[in-house]
Amino acid sequence: MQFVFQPLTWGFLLVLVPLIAHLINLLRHRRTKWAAMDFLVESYRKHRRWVWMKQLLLLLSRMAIMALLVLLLAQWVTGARWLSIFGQTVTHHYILLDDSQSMGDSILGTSVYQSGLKSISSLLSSVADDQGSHQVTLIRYSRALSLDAIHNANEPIKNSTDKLDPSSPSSPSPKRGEGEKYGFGKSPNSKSIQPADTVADLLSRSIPTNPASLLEPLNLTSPVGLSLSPIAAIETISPLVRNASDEQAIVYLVSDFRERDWRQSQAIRSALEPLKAAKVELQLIDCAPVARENLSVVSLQPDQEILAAGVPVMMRVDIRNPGASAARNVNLTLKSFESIPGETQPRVDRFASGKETVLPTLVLDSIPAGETVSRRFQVIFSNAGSHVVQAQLPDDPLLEDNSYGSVLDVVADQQLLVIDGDVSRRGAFFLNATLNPGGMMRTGWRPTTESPSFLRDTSVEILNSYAAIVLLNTNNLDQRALSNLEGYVSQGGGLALFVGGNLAQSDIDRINRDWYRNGQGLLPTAIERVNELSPSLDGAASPDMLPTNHQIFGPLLGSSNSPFQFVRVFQYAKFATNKPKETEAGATLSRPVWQSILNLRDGSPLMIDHPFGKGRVIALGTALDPRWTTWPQDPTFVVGMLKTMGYLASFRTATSAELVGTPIEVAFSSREATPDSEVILPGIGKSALRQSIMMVAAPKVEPMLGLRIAVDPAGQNLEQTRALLSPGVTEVWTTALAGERLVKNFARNTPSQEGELKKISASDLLSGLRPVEAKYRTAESLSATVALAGLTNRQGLLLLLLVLFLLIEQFLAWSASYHLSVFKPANAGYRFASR
Amino acid sequence: MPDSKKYLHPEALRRIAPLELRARRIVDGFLSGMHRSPYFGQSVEFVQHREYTPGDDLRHIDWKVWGRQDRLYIKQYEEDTNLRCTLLVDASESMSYGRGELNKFDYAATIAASLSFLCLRQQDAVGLTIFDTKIRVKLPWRAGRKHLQSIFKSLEQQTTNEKTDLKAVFREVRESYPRRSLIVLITDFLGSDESILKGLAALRQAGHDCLVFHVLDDDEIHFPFNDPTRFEGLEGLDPLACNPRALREGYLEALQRFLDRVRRTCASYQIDYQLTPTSQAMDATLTSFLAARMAHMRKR
Repeated sequence: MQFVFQPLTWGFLLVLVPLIAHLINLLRHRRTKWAAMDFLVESYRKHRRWVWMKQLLLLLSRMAIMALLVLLLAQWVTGARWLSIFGQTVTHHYILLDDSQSMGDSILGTSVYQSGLKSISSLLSSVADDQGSHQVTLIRYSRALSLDAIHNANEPIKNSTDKLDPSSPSSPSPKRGEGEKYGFGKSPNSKSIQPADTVADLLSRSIPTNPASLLEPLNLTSPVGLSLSPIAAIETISPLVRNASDEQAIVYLVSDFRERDWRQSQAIRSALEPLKAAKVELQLIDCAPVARENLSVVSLQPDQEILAAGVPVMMRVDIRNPGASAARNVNLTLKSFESIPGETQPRVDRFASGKETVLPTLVLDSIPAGETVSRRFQVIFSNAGSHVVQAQLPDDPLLEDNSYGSVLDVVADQQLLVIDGDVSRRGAFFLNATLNPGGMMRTGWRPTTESPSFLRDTSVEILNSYAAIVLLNTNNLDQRALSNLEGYVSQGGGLALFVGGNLAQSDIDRINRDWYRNGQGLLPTAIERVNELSPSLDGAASPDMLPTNHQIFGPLLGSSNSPFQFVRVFQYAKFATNKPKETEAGATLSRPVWQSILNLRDGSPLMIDHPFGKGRVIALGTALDPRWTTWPQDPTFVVGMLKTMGYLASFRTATSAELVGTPIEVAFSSREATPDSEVILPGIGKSALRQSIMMVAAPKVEPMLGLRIAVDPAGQNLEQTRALLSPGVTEVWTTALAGERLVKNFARNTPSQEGELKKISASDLLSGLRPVEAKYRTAESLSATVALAGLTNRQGLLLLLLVLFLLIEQFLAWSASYHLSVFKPANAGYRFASR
Repeated sequence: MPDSKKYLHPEALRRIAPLELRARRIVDGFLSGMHRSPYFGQSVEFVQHREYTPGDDLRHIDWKVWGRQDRLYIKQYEEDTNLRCTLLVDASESMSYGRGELNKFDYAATIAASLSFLCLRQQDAVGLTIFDTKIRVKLPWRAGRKHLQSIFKSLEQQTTNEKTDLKAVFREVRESYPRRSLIVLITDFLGSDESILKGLAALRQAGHDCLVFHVLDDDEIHFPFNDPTRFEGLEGLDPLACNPRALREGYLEALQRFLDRVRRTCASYQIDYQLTPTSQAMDATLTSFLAARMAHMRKR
């Protein structure tokens, strides 16, 4: 047995008081002479058993009353299961606090999250005033999510990106994690469920008279840059609820209940089913009174082109208006932060270090309700390095989604490997002149020409140093060269294959055998034959080459006159058009469909694009030979090649922006930099200085060093955890052996859906959860309607028992003639005298 | 309360120590308050006239005087003195109980003295027997002041002891008082229930008229004890320690059954029975006696 006020248990000695009083009364008989003994003895013989029994019961009831009084005063608490027969003994309040980014929705400086904390404080205060024994367990959604669950949350999206790519290869680089919320729509597996004792902010704590002290650490917390569901938190407390059958459990979901999260709530309902089976009361505490208008920057990405110093980069920014009314005259502030060689100190007072340049502001005249508007702008960095671009919207209710950062890892030059099987290397020379004309014109490409034997004698690691590889007049490669190429592409490399030249049927057969390999090779489809394209009868009105809606030539589709009107194609290698079924992609994605980039006038594909592993292969059914086509002499060839190479090189480029929570991994050689690193974390809030922490890179495979910065929501360092779960730029500063400081930037942004603040109605919310029954209430009304579940608690039971025993004691005392009111001598005397 | 009635109540009697004086006060107070005088005899010897007061029997109005003076007077005659009254007073140990003004024996002695005084004042012959297990005092029927002093002296000198054994006592009384008389028994009936009733039946069969004053203390009637008490029995009974409140109901039921049995037996033998708590005023006792005396006189 345990008691809240242990010293009061000495009061159990009071149980002996009735016994002592009884014994004393037995000894303290007054003596009197008595004449009418016969009647007295007769009465005694008749009633002595009953009298003895009543006195014994009276004594026991008085002792029980004393024991109950002590139990009440000492506040008995116990986990005895048998007491559950009489009703719940301890009321356990499980509070699951939503700290996803949308809880940062603020009005007049008070966020929804702070309203939630206030409502929790009111709840605990009311509970503290209530009779009975109460305990509280409080878990934030983010802490319930395991480290792996946060880090792996993007993985399914990555796969789905692969799914999408084949059908729309021209789509921009996917935004990882967009549209996904950690835990929403899927249940965490058992391994991702965190034990409550390690993640709970408050675990089975008794509620003191002043519960504000309990919440003091929580007042230092804030919403994190994650999109979170309550499922992980529910799964975390479920074992506690199931194992405490003698408690009355009340689960509170303190959240903002947005429509995007709760419209499809099957997963949450499934998670709540075990609680329903355990007869747990569920209360939904809505902290967001109304939905308000909000704008979000949902994407900021560079075009899939070359990122090289001095080469302009086109950026695309997407602004979403999830509200109910159109936004007008929105100013989008753009900034670039360029890493400068020789910069030694990070700037912790800004969004990112480096040279800050304010780009021309974009003015968006109107953003219709529920739509996303895209804008493109150009940025150029004169130096190689890890640079940052920031897009910033004006302040609105949710500040965190107004800023979006993107990191561009710009190199001085991109290396291009040109393999030319022609001994004259005329095609390679022509291509080199196209991609690197020299003089004032800078394309960022540095082509290198090699013979096909280079592919045989090299390795994949060496090939990986090239941004893209072009094969010209290379119809015959041995298996080792092919294996190196397949390894290069599957690891993210880009390969451009020009099929043409002196192409005999035997060459076609070899290509189909080695490159196509029945769909397993680098070529997605077989070459049927070499076809001649008959001349066009109406000249420029029917150009030989027709672009499709692909990123490379898609921008040319809108022009009235075809840019290819002067290009002539005389012959071409005809690709077989029996595409694999698209649905097969759903299984492994190892052989997804391909897409045509350029078609010929007769509908045959001339230039096709398809993924291979992590990389891309673009095959052209023509050679850079005047006998095949006049395209190399056309100006569009230069544009086409630059964009094609930029497209192929983009798949090796690191993703410019990730979601908050994505771990940061940095690898560098110990021959270049020392392992001591300084990490600048994102700032917490709008104006706070960014934290700087020192880390030491761990040795990997010699000579590499590795640094991993992961988020642990249940981490002990509250400030670091908050910073790592905030959107912004993380900078990793290392020191080169030569002494100069090197910086690598990583942008982490708020999930786009967190900006959608539309509320779900209470009726829809409750109906979506059925058959799980829940009570819905707003944070304002919470303190007034706190669930007084403690009415059926152990103290109440003790009080009831005490009253019952008092009544029994009075009845026994009356029955044993201990009440003086029983004796009425006047009436009794009159009865005898009247006879 | 008029002064004449004051001495009819036990709390006042307690302050009067001499039994003779106590009896005189009782009888004087009793008689002075009576409106009519039914107990004056019907003999021819005229005693006096008295002014009529409402309530007097109209048969006793002297109409001749009314005719002459137009005022109402009644005639009073001196009664005959041939009544024999035998007083039997229980002096057993149980009669010593009493927490009130008088214990039961004091009360019984006061009754006996008052009745003696009343009888001798009307020239009746009075005999007295005081008994417990045996007859301790026996005075024959006599009339006169000296005899009255003997009665008072006998009553005052007695103390209670021993048990009651009325069977032997009644046998001796029947032999001692062979002529029919009015027998007044003053007892508490405790310690000898059936034998008393049988003795009384024998007296009735011998032609005596019997009047019983059943003297009980208020405590014995109401049993007003609250605290744990050790009751030590008089007349040699074993003690009993108990919670009296728990036994009170049973005690009263047993007492009630006993009283009912005594009352039924007395009624069956035409014995006048009067339950007399020691807190009761004496006028009821004397009234009962005079009613019995009248009945006895009429039968003669």
